[in-house]
Amino acid sequence: MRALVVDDSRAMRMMIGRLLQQAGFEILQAGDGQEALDVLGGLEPHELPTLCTVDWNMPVMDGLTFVQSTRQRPEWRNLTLMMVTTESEGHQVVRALAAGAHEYLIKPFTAEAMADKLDILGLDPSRSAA
Amino acid sequence: MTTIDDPWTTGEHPVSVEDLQTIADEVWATFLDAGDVPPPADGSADAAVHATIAVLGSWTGQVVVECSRDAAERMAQQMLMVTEVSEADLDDTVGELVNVVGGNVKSLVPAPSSLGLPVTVTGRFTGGEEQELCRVEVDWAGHPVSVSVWTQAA
Repeated sequence: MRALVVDDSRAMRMMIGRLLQQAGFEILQAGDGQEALDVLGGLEPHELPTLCTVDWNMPVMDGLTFVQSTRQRPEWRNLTLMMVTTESEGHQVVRALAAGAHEYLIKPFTAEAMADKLDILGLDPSRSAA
Repeated sequence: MTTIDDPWTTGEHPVSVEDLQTIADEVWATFLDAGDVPPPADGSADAAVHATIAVLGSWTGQVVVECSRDAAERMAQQMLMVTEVSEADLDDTVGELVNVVGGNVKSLVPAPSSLGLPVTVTGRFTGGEEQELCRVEVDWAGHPVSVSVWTQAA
């Protein structure tokens, strides 16, 4: 399985990427929403990631706009979208889920919290293999 | 991890020292394992780095993370899991830390509000015309890291 990690911080992309690699994902990266759309647009259907983790506050295109954009593309309907963000207010969570995000993880998060979210989404091969 | 200062003197403020300490402690404990980090060398606190992020809306202010350059390099090494870090890596790491602290501070202030993008700068934060509301210190493997919240002076 592939995961696309969308975050403007390289440090955060590396941290999330490491956790997802440990869960069995091959990692793609993008530094903002527009770059993420470009990455997805350059992939063949069989190359598309299963999961996108999406930061909210990013330059160029924010995470909410990215989520809305992906939901307008039928060919990407199987993407599972997880917001990973500092936006912790309840109304922001509601906005993201209404826009099409499947899960929401608030920074700072532990490795266990990320694993729990993957489990909820049915995307943790390491747990299902155990 | 010790609270070092509470200069609040008047008025109701949305972020208490206790709130800020809780946020800062959680961020450093979650993202930065201090286990193998050597303590600061003599003179390493001379060069400072700070990152700021603005909270804009019903309440306007900014959150600041400040530390020695040595601490910033070690935090970048830790988050990126590399031994050599570039200037961009250092800026990115301290900027992401203030982003996470700032996002959690934003959740405490009156809505609606939004978070800016982090800016990392070499040197100490002077505050300009802003007033410091609260400040806490995180002791990360002996490296002092200051986290503060500022708003426009009345």
